[in-house]
Amino acid sequence: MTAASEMLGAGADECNGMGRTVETVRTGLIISLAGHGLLLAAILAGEWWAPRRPPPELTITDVAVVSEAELAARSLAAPSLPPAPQPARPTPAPAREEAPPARPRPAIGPAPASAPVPGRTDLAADRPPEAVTPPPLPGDVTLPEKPEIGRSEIAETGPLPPRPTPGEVDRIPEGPTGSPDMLAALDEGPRFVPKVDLSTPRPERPPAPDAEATGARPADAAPRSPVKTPPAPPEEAAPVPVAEADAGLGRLAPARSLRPRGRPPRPAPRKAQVNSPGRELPAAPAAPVATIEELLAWAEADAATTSARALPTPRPSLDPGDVERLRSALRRCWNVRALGEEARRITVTLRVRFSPDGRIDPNAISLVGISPGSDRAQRTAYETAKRAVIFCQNDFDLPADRYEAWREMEITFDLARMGIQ
Amino acid sequence: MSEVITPVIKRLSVILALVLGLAGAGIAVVDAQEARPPLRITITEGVSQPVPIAIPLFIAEGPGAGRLAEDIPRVIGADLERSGLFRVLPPEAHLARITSFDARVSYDDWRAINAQGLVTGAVSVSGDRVTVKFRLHDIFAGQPMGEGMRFSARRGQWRRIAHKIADSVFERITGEKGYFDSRIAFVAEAGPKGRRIKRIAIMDQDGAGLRYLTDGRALVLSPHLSSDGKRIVYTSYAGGAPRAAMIDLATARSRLLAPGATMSFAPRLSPDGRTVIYSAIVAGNVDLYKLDLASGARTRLTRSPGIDTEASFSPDGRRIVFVSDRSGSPQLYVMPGEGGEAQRISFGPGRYGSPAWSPRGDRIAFTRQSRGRFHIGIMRPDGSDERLLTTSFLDEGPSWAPNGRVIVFFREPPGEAGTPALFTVNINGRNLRRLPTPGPASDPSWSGLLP
Repeated sequence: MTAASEMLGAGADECNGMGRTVETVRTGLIISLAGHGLLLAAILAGEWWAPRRPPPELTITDVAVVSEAELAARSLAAPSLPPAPQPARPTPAPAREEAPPARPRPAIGPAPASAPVPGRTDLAADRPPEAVTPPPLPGDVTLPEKPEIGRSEIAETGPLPPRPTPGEVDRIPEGPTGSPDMLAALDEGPRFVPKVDLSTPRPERPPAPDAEATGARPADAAPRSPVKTPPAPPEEAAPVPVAEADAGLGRLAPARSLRPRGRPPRPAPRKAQVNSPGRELPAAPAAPVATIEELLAWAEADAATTSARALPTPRPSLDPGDVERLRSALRRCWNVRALGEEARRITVTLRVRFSPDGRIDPNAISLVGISPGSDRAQRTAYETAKRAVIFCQNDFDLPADRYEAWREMEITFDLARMGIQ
Repeated sequence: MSEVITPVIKRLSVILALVLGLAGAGIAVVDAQEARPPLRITITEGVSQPVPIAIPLFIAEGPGAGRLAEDIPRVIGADLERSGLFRVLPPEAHLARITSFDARVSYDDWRAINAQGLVTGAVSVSGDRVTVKFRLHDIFAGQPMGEGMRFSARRGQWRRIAHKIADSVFERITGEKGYFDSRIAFVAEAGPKGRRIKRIAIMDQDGAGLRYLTDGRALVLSPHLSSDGKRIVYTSYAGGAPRAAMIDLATARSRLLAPGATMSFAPRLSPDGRTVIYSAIVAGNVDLYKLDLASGARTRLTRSPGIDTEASFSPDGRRIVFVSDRSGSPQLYVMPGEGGEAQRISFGPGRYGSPAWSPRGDRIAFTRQSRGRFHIGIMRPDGSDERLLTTSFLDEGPSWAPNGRVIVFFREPPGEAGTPALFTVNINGRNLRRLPTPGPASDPSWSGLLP
């Protein structure tokens, strides 16, 4: 074991961190020595077992990051104005009555001077100003002249020049798509930062008073953040005073949630978020419902010897009411109006990790699955889904005493069946 | 080297494997503890509401920019609202003021009024040139969406800058190309119903910048604007009989397309602008002909005894949809761009007409007349998935927006007082809006996105 731990540093840390007991047995030492020796030998001898697995989480993150950056990189891109097609105009024709507006010939290429017609302009681009705190302006597009009636052509793109300083506006041919800087900007990515203040714990759900042991769900002890209509900042708006007042109460919660014992009928009409004025200590927790999934999970957990884990609730589960509330909140917040036709066909699966107070660490939303499509459509679908999750997190109203059940979720957004809208 | 060590390694590798196995097992245990199966939820429906977006006044940088700093955001907002996908939050609702283009945006203030997007910008004027930079912010993310952009143009073209910004915002948020920097040609009408004066006109997609291209002395019909917006083909009655003609917008000159005294009409340009397809009456038979503009070469495309007319190219130019009454009533047919066997694609009750192939290639818009009503509809190029989007006494002449999401057509109410007007509708049948024109208008034709 020691050998194993040492050889795989990360794993060892984890093991120790988990509070696993490291046995110091002599055989261990021997193995360790042998292992080390062998390791050295192998390293010297060549790349033996080169493939090493990075921690699994990394893989997930990578997926998200890569596809996001890629998505973003391509489509944000500036007005990738297409080269004006330039069919040769052969025949001059009999003049019509209207005064023929002078029509500049389009110049294709970076040199604006190529077509010396007065008033002619080029579509040009310059790079965004550098070193300004806010993100750069990459595209500088000079609109083509509109010759009176006509359309104008735009001189077309060339390589992107180095960025000018913020103030200067050079007419430089525009690059059709991205540029290193854009990529860099994108790498910072769509990071949602709804200012999560983790220092203020959310009120925990108080256990149900005995009287409600029939299964009625206890009303929420504390008002959550306003239900989104008064569009207060999602997180900060959380009524801190109450939360703090109930903090002590909340701490009690985990201790109470035991394994489910049977299934009391559960109307779960806890819509009305009562403001727990009296703050009386409720007697018994609402008994969680055991579902098959849950039972399976428990079995699994037992097999995996989770005993070492100092978690209050080994394998809790959400009851149907919780899940339905979650679902309906997500439906309400998933605004699909602006999704283009292609983006509507794209199915997005997000993995979301919640903190114990029911909030979402914006950085803990990762993309774990997305159906094929153009970058633009994929990104739009992804962002819209992500927005729904962030926008609605205050409405999820998840039972604090069963954090383990919703600590991590995979949410799939699938509009495929709705067709053209 | 390896040969020397091999025996040793062979033995040691057993131990190694054992060690690694143990290590792996250790990790597996840790994994099992970490990775309990997450809660899985699938959402299959959402809500559909216009996306709230804020477009405060742009910053006027330097003298002479004040007016534009107000006008440009207004035009952007109008574009986005007309699409039906956005709702522009009124300035009175804004809590924050943008005082400098590069200053930090107080996202909380915009979040508080429920804005989802925020467009900030700055305008500067130097001589005759206007330069506008802008940035789109994702309020929930609390950061700019992508990078900003900068446009520069002659002062007279400031509206195009606004349209281009609107297109960028539209594209960034919807994932589809915009359609705002585009123009619409149409027949502008004036005078009493029996004695209408008709002129070919062109305007920006939002109705601004109207210009007349013909003088109204001769009857003109069915203009078709090239996708680059540089030319218009139309039917002219200047000589008494219908003749296909073409106007070059840069010079405002026009010329006739068909030779001799042949009566020709309903011309349509190919997407690459090199070819015109039109109907001609030869020996009493109406067939489709194709004209190569560069060489003047003509090709006869159909040889049916009936009337073949109102052709429209697919965006790749390889297929043509047209109307033919060869089956007894006007129906839609698709044939190869070079002519050849045509497949009938319309089978619903009633008469079909004025087909227009979407610039995305995935649909064909048409007019259908049945039971005394007219409808604008769309179908797949194979005739499947037909949907009727509108219905009225007279809806005619659909033409696609550059992004294939919106259709412009004209509608004419019954009676003496009824005058035609242009309308747009989204391809989901929603967001029907009248386009502003100074007078009665018909036969619209939408360009592609301008370069």
